[in-house]
Amino acid sequence: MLEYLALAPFRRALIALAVTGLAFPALGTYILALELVPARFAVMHASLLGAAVGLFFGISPLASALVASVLAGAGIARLSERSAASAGGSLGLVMTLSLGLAFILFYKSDVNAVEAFNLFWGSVLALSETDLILTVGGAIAVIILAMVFLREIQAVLYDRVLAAAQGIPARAVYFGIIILVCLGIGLAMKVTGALMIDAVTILPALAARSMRRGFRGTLIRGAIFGISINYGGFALAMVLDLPTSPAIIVVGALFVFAGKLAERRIDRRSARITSRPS
Amino acid sequence: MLVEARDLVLGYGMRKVLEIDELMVEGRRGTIVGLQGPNGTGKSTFLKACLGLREPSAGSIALLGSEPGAGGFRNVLTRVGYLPQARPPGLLRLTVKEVVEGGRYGRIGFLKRSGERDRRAVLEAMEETGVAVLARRAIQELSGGQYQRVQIARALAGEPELLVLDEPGSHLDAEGRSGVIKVISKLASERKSSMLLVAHDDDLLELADVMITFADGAVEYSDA
Repeated sequence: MLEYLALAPFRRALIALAVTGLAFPALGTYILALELVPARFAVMHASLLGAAVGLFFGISPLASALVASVLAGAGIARLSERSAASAGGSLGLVMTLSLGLAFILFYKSDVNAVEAFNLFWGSVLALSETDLILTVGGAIAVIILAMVFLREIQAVLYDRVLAAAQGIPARAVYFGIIILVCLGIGLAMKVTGALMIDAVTILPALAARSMRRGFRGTLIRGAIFGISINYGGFALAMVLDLPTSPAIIVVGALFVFAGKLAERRIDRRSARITSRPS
Repeated sequence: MLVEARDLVLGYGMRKVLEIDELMVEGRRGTIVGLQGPNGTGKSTFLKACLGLREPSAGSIALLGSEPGAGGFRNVLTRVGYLPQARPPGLLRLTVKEVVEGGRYGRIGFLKRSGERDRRAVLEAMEETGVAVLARRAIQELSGGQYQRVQIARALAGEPELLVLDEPGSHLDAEGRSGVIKVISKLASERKSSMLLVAHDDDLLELADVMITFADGAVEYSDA
């Protein structure tokens, strides 16, 4: 194993797995709390369009995909201010329009569609130096913002109206969360591939949520689970010669199942305490 | 002055819900202002406008002497505890204690650590509303009545000068409603909290010192 450490792609993969495992489960917690699961598909498609535009103009497709993610995030935040119901149709529009425009770009230019689609099939072992810098930077931003604005984020995730009624700048915090989530999705796409993005965001967050000991505890537990899932999946992939992202998903799913079992045990214990005669 | 409104028009899009030429609600500590009237007459919309959660179509409104959007309004909000109409908890798994602590965030302020006084205020709010025994429970595990009392504790945790309560007993079963009514009656008699109280329950409305009646897009102010 140690000889692999001499290889730059391997080292980059280990660093990316550590930082995304540590930081991105927080984004999963935000996605679950704000019911952004459908919205993230729209962001992925907008990112594909961004990557296509980047390739068209000869700039980094990841950087342009990130810009597209952020813009899509701002749009989604605006839409969801009106109502979740009205956002549904608009998200469908964003998805199909993004795909349509991306394919027009591929068709009308020499852009290699496969390169743009690499974002969808991203691999942690294929990260470039620039990808790694962007991923580490994004992960550090997620962690610092979660620590600095912990109370404000919690208040907004709990109830935006109540947060605003107590003088918290709820709208700004909400927009900030959505944009951060979209940025994270854009970055995670390169690490796991868009279709397996939940491996580093939602699965560790789901496992952590099952233990339900409050917000701070969920974030901390999510980070621990995130690193364990990422490294566990990576090790599994190395040992059994599997593709990395699917192996990470399998380990993540095992953590979610384990979390559910733990949740049942907690339920049974609290039921026993409640029914004990006082 | 608790609330002051002039030439106020509130509505949704083109639909006008409420029009108030002039309304001055004065109050000392412990004054309870009851807001009553049929559904859809603008009571909740009026409360939201007071708190800056809904912008008037025209005119002005001020709460505790400050207008939403004005420089000092954020400070005013830290002196107010708000309880919206009952609704189920969202998807974020929080403990009861975390929710009640959340009511203090506006007062603690940005980047400041919570202190002994904050911890004491949270504990007192939970004890007063009878939810201290539930402190470590997840809010999704509570009954409607228990969750509403948690929300009241949250509103109290900020040690507000004014409580804004929007139909605190509605959408609850009989047991839940009776628990909530008991808590609010106790707050009125022991804590001497000033309140803007939207209610349909006679048990709650009889706590009011003055009454604002909403009907036909207008309001009428009277002693209770």
